[in-house]
Amino acid sequence: MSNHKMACFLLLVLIGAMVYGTQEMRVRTNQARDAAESAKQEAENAEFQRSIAETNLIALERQTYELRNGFHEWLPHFAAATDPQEGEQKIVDAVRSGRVFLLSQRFQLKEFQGEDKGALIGVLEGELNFEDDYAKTLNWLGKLEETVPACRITSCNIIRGDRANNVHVKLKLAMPIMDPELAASSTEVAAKAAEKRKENADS
Amino acid sequence: MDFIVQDIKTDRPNISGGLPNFYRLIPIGFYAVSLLAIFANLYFYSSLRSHQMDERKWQAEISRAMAEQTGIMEKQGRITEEAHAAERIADWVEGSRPVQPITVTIARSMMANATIAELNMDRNPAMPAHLFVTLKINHAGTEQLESTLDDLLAIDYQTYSAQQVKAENAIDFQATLIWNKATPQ
Repeated sequence: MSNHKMACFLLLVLIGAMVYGTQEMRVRTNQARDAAESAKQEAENAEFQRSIAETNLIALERQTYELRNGFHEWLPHFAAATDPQEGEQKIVDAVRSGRVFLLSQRFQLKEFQGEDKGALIGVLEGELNFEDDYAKTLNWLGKLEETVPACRITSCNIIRGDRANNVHVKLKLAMPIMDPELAASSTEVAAKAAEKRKENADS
Repeated sequence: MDFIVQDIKTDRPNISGGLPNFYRLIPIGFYAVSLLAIFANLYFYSSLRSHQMDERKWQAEISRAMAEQTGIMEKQGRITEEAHAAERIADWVEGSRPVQPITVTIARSMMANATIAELNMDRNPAMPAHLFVTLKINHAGTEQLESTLDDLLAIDYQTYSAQQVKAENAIDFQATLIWNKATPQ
């Protein structure tokens, strides 16, 4: 093969190499473009999913706003009794401050099981028997329900007392015992929500 | 043209013969392909960089959107949990309306000679908002009972399944009291 032919062959090889290299570059560029397109699709999809989740969150917040607001308002009353001793103490304090004549009292804890167990882990059931002046007793009953609003009077039996103006009251009540962990976390959340409401009101 | 291809196309009689004219296209093609390859590669390279940058940008967008979505889902979970707790508390509160206003209302509704022999109020364990009331009044008639029920209605309590037994100069009444939420405050 003459040198001329060798030179031509070399040029042809170089031409081929350049075409091949350019083609490779084009393939890589196309792959990068496809990857970018795919990433864009995924990003749009992820953004769509995020916006759906955000819409659902806003709807959920709106739906449960009043319920949660009420919960935050009532929370301090429920969080005040996270174990039976605290619940019993609150009732005993109310009896003591009312100075009604107590004949007997009995408390027992009824723990919730399974599905019943949620925000409330149990209920402290109390039976109180007392006899005192009619007005004083009814005022005390009102005071008890005002100072311990979470307390539920499940049974109230009022009959005439031994003395002329006295009434004899048999009271069965239930004091809810809140889950301590929920009480702690919810109190924190409620405090933050209250701060946020205050900030909104100020602005 | 001779200048362009002189190195390989000039006739060199002592060494080798010149190539056919057709072969002159090879170096021209080489130059053209070289130029085209340079421009095409520059173009493809800049496109490649641009696409890679786009991909990185979209990947960052994906990460951001997914992180935000995770945050939203966590918040949604917390709200759902709180709503469940709130429902439980609301149910409890609903069944814990004070009974003292009822006792006071009944006591105040008594007429001059009437006396309450016994007043009993029990919550229905399945529906604590429903209060089963038993009332025994001495020295009273239906007029007294109507007055008492009117007073209870005034504090938004309605009676259901009411039954009354009238004995001589006394009346036994029993009913389920339900707080009437529909009454505008």
